[in-house]
Amino acid sequence: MKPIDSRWTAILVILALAATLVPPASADDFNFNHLVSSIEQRYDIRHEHIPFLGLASFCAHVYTRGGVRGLRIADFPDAGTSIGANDLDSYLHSELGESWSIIVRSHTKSTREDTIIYARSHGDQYILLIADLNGNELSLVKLGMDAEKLRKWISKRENRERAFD
Amino acid sequence: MKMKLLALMAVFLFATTPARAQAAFPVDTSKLAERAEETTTVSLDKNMLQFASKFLSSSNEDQEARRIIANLDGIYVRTFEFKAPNSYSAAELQGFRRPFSGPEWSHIVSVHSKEADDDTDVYVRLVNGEVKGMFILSAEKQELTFVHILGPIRPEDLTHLSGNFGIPRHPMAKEQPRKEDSQ
Repeated sequence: MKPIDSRWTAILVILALAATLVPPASADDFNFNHLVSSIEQRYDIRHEHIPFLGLASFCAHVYTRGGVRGLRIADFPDAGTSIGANDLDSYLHSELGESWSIIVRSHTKSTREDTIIYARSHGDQYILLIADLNGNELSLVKLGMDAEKLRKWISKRENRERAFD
Repeated sequence: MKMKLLALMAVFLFATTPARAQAAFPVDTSKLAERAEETTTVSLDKNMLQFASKFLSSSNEDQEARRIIANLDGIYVRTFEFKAPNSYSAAELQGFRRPFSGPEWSHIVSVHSKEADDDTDVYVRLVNGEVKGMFILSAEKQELTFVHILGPIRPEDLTHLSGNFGIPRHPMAKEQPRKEDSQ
């Protein structure tokens, strides 16, 4: 048997680390996988697998010094035009529950694009769920944010930029 | 991911309710939404305002904005962009101003620019002589913006908030006190 290349070992370690950073449902009391499955059932659509998403989540977590975590994306490329934004909003709201609120909602008539951003907070921890309905395509993005860590990260970047000026 | 989605995220993160809480919005804009090419609603309750305020920079201007929003209960913004000019009538505009004609509200700023053909109205809600809210109506040729701010705010505070949280940039830059108010 050939010994495993050290490069592959490193990749496996990174992927394993990335997997641990995608929080389980119990961590933020919100099961993204369950939501995606229920949307698939309700609208009879399937989402596409996005490779290396765990790695992207890990990178976002490291890059923002823990400010962003648990990035999840589900893309439904063949959602069709039958899904209405109001129906989707009602459904998502019933699935998410009263603890979530809409912070931004946008509609463009000519491109038939609707974007709804839901948010929920717990102390300094915030979870955003973004639903984007664009013609035939539906995208769901979930990410957790630590407000304090993000603030520190932004502040550090500001200071660095100022130092270069 | 689409650029617009990212832009909206940026609006929330760097500038930046429940849809069910929108019933508290003092004017009915549902008919505008039917005609508008683009509709954007930003709804930040007290909790979300505190979150958004963390992303303000450390500049003096933004620190002042942070101090102001610490006392606010919410900022609700609705923007309607139209494809063609004159997509709303003067009578409609007058209808949007009507809820603020009662004794609770004071019309503190009314600006009309002939050149740009735009109007800005600022109203404050007074409770026992203290300002407890503000409503801004900004009407441009192809765009209508409504801003409802809940909580204690002084008219001069608006300059610190403009450009953030979906509030149009410097809506009072051209402000001129109404004659009857200055008397």
